[in-house]
Amino acid sequence: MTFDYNQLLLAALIYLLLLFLIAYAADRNYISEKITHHPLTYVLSLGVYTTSWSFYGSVGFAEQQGLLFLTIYLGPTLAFLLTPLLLAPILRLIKDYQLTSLADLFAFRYSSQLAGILVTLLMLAGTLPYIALQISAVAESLSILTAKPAPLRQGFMFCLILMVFALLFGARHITPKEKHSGLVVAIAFESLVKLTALFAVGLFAVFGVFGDLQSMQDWLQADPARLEAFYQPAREGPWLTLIFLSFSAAFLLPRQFHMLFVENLHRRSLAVASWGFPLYLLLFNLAIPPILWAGQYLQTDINSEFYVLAVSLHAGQPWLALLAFIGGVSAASAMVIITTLALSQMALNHLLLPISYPDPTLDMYRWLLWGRRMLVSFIILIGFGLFVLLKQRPGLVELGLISFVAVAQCIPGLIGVLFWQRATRTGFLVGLGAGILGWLMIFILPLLHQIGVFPIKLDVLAYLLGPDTNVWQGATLLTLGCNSFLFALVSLLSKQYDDERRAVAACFENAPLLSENRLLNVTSPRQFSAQLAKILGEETGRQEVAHALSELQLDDHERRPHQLQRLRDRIERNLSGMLGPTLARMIVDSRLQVNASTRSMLSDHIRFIEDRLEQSRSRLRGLVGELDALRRYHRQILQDLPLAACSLSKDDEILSWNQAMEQLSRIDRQAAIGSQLCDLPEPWSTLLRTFLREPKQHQHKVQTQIHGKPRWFNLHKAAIADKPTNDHNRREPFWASVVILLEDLTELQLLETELAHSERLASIGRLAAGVAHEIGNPVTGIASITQNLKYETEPQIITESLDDILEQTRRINDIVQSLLTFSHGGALPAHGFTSFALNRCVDEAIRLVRLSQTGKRLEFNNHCPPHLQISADRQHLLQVFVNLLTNACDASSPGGTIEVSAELENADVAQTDHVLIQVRDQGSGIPVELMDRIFEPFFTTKDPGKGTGLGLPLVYNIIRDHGGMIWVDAMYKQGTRFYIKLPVRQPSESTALMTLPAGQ
Amino acid sequence: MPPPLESSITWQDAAILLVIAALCFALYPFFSWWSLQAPPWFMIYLLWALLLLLGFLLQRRFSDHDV
Repeated sequence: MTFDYNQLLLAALIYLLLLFLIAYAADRNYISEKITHHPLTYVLSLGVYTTSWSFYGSVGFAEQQGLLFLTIYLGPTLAFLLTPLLLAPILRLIKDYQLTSLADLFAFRYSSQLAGILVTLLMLAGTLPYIALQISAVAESLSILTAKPAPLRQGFMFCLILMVFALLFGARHITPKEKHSGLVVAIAFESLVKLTALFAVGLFAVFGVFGDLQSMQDWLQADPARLEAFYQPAREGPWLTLIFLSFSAAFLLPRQFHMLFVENLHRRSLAVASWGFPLYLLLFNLAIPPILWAGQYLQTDINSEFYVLAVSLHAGQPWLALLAFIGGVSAASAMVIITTLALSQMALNHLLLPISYPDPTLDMYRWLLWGRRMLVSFIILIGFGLFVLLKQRPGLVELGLISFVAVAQCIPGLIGVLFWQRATRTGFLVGLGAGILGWLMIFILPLLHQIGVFPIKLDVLAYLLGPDTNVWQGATLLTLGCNSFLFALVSLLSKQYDDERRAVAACFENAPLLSENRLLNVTSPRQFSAQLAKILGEETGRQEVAHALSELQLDDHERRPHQLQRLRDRIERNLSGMLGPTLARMIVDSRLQVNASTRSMLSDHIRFIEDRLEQSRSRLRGLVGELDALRRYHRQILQDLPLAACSLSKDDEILSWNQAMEQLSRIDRQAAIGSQLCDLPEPWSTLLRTFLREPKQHQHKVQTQIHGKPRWFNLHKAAIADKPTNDHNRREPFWASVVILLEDLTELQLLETELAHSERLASIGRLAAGVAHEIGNPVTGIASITQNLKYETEPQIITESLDDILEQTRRINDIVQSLLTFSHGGALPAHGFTSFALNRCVDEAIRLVRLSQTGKRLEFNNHCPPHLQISADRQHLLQVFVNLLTNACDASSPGGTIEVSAELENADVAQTDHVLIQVRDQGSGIPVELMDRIFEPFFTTKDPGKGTGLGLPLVYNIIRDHGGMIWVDAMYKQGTRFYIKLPVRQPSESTALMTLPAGQ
Repeated sequence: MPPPLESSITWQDAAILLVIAALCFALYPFFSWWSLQAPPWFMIYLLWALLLLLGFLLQRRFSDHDV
């Protein structure tokens, strides 16, 4: 049975069209995300590993090397078994730093463009023959099915179709995140097709050729030499070498790396792939031995590498042969498409861009897109060119293994990425260079010699290791041995540069946490755009900044240093996805420079540590977990503290802002943290900055206006000490940050005012009887004078009578005025104190007290010097004296004396002058055991209904608000003696009241 | 730079995985001996399936983040 070229071509075209449709439908979301994002789709897409080498070549490999063919699939099984140690960390790096290829990964870790270039060249050299091999396999399958030599035209057509597919579904747009769901679904479909095709041929081999499994077993038993030939290479061949090579190829081959890491949508998918992909390989290979034995049984003259086609042709069923052909096309096309896309990305980032960076006046996105498309086309065409050159190819398996040895050269470097922090750029470059050199000499130069390009026949292995050396064992040992040895040796002898150390910190979980973050020279997103425009072009620069802002959910007015640092990091990552990590870092470093003279941002360090701990919360165990719980507990205490608290760095940057602070200030915590103190809205900025500059650690009853209403706060601050240094000449403050507490006293202040008012009312009540009596006497006098005046005609007497009435009226007026003055007290004035004579205030208090103490005939002596002026609130001080004198009256016996005296105390240079006032009586005195309680609210020794217990607490508060002190002399035995110490100051010098105008 | 994620894989987990991997390589002499006994051809597939089962059970030990 043979086919016509056109029939096969049509079948291939229909199949590829179906592939187009599937990819298109997935791209346009016509296929549900449940399917496109399903882990199974991801697992199947990894089936790109099985190329035409696996589909056709495995049977030939099995015939020549028996069970050794399985090593190519057992290696990946081991690699995927080690997913948590091997693949997951790579995936993390790829996702976190938006890397798009193996070359990007090495360029990132070793911070070297040369590393990227070397890896790209190695991958190109190692993989291009492999692409040629796929074209060759499809051409060969055409030749077998048509029984005619395959014309080049068909191979070229195949290449063109793949090129269109790759351009449409893999290079349609430039995005920082290389995700192509259409492509992934199409490749998954291809994997399913080739598995189905191979399985169908395998089933036919067992049941169509042998009849059943038992017959096949009998046939095998009948010829023990055949089974022995199957097992013998496994004992004597390079089993371990091949497992190692396929182990590294499973995730390092460009197509594998691309599908496994770059196209990965969810980490969970990798978990499923850790067993799902090996299962796919197992199922794929289950059919190989029966197909091999069926081919041998049929004694077909077709090359064993194409037994899959030979057996299906023998079936006489055109559909089976066609399915096998489509399976082969699937295997080849998937490999070519993905490899080309992966190589084009590498070549773009590490060859094209470093060589010819586009002019900033051009549209960067367009340039990149067309650059990539050009590279895709170029790579496929080179593959086709090599296919033409490699007509005398050494075989599917050999070419495949050459690629495997090439990618295995990256294993030492990968150890430096994942496990060995000490590895250096120089060590990597020297080791990889040596490995590549060996690989070229062992494989590529002989291959070029074979096709007539290189004139000298080289046999390095025979020369170095002897003529009987197995080529795979010898080549792997020699190239990787040199590579690893030089990598380790040079790494140990060379030093890491600063940029390398930063990259190491990003790669390793246990690397030092705190990096040297500094403030940026650019201070706004607009400046970011302007700077980037100089190198990316105006439009691209603007779009990149806008894109990064949108991803970080920031707005165009962002000014916070740490947010700008985040913006810079995000832009670097996004550029890394488009231009590669080295170029992205160069652009960002040169255009978005950091200010070397600034200090590290403490808030960034704190956030860095907190983010890291937050992400790792469920994974911290043992003592570390307990310490973290303790940390959370302490942080929660600070957060839920009913006092408003915030902490500030040396640079006035806000490090923390607790919940109470958030509620009090109505400034969102997220917005406050990382801001500079001066950027806070008023009055908070001035209030906190003024207090921060004050030498005092505490300030009491600071009044400010918030939303037009007065608020009172107690402010406290404490320095959080930095780590001590040995630098004794250091002039900077010896602390790393300051914590500020704000105690809101507004309610307390209002309550105190209420209480004072109540006390005043109570006093007025007590005074009422005296007032009535005092006013009653002159009124009686006025009444009798007026009555006599009615009958008086003598002008002299009338005049005297009127003077008497006026005198009595003045007396009443004095009483009423005193009462009014006393009753007008309230909150302490916001504008400061006034200056007045102390003795007049005392006189007034005495007059008021006398009104209610008429029965005791007490004597009041005011010894205050008339010239002594004091700055205070007159009404409040009057209240102090009234309360103290009333208490003195209550305690005194009839006829007792109450004295008030005052003297000026000259203080030393550092302090203000004070007035020391004494109020003493000759009463019963205060028992020593009650002295500690007399200033407590509601504490009274008077009978119920006679005292509120608020008098002395009110006195205490008023004196405290004036910055003074009051105490009772415990040693005074003749009665009670109160001392009041008040500062003598001008209103402008007030420190107890720091007032802030509203709206300042 | 963003904080690297912490891994929950303890050194014991890593050791188990590495021992399994090493065993797969080190069992080669056993495999040589075993192949001399001419076992059924599909036996190696059964062993392979066993290894897969092990991989499946192991991955359940780790969180999504780690695997």
